[in-house]
Amino acid sequence: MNKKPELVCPAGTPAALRIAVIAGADAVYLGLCDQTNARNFPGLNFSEEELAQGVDFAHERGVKVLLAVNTYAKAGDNKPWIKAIDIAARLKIDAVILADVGLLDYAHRTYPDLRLHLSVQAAASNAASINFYAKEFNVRRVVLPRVLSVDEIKAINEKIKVETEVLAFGGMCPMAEGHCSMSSYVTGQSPNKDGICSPPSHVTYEQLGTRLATKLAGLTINNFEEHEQVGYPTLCKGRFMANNRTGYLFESPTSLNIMTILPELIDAGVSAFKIEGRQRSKAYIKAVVENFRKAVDAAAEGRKLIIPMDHLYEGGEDTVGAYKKDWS
Amino acid sequence: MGINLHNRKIKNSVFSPFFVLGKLIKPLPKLPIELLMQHVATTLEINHPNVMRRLESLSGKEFLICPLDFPYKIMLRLNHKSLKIKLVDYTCQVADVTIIGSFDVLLQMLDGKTDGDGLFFDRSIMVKGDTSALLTLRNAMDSDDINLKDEIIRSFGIFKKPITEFINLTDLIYYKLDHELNDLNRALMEPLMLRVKSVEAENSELKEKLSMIEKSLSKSNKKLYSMSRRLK
Repeated sequence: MNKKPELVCPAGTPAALRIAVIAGADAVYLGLCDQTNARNFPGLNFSEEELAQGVDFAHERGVKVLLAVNTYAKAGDNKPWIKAIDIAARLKIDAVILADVGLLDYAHRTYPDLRLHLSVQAAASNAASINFYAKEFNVRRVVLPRVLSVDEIKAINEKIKVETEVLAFGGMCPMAEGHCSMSSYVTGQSPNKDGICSPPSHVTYEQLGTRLATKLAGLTINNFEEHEQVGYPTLCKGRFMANNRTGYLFESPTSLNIMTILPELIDAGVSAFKIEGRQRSKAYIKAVVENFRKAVDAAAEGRKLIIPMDHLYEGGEDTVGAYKKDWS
Repeated sequence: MGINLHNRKIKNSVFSPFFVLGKLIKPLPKLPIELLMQHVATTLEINHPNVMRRLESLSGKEFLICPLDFPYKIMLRLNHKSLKIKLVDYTCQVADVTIIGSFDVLLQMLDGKTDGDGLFFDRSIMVKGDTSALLTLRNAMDSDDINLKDEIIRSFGIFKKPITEFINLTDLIYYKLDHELNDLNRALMEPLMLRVKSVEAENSELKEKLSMIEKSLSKSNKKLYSMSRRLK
């Protein structure tokens, strides 16, 4: 029988951390208020003092804290990233989530006892790649990119000795994670280096009669009719015209939700389920974490529990994405 | 229309107890209401220094909050570590950010009881202007546990007890009034909704007919084209 998987939940702010812990998280992941993490949104994240308080709050309740330092260090100035790893070691963070090979090397050599997780941003999608990170940096867990099927995850787990974590709920990312330059191409700011995809400083909403246009750096990303759910303008989820047809060329606005296949993923050897959404509100975190807590507990007992969450889906739709892909 | 978080349907109706309250206070001078709102804002400032720290980058920015069911708009100006509140006339338009929605929904957002993104995605609220400033405000307010009712009660110090009783009474009146207004709203809207549904059905029937006509026209065109080619 597999060990009960961990439920890893987002904490964009101190209040969200408290909500996630109380709602049933086994671990929370968070970032500092700078470019060292991939959710560098204004007003979000933790100061060092807030992080220390958050760690105390979580540890007192038996919940782990994982620090995301998952962007790539800037050439010639890696100080903020090194500082973030030093803070993690000093505050006794349970694990640091890293993607950059240089930072993995620094963390492994400087703090051999610090547990390291490989971020989804590293896009390690096969056993050879994962074994390399495990051997060279003693990485203990790998967050798998959202491009693998359940069967592929099972095959990988049979060939590796480290834990695997999969994205369970939230945004879909159709690109090679950690290597996407679409937002950077349009805004000049990189999700992988500056930690921000579709920065709000470049986002505008324009009401055009009954339609709402969402724009990124002046480019129209979508034009929503009155009856349609609006979405945040990311280039990969834009609706464009090609060959005289208008549609979602890369990906439609939809939420990843693996609640229906939790038992299969546990059988495939997955050790942790990650809920995405550090940029989302406390109300959202509470609802998603509470529901997933119940579903993961049921799945660990071999039961399938489906809780409707239609009101929380982007675009009003959900998908199991590549986990059940019928293409190769 | 609305979203259901924590099993509570959020309304987007302008027919709310705040609408009634607005009608009652409209003839009164603005100053006492403004002072009361400023008092609550100052209390938030004092009780939540971490929120204020997150708002520092917004110094000088103005947020125009437009409750659809209230006779005034609320102008919130962020100065260095302080919040300034002003009630403005409904014609006022100029601000860095404008947020439009029913008073109840806006208050629930402030209390962190609802998901602001969800409200925007399903159009229960509308926003205009500087998206970065708006997100900073949303994230900052969401970063701490704010309970507006408790904040107001605490802010009145030694008058805590009568204020608590007064707020509990207004809560009760609010929910009763809300219930009554919902019934009234339903009674007024139901015939309209039935009419809308029948127009929609008529519309889709017409669309279907139109599409059939278009198809047969296209077929006829093709036939005509091939006939004309044969004739040539």
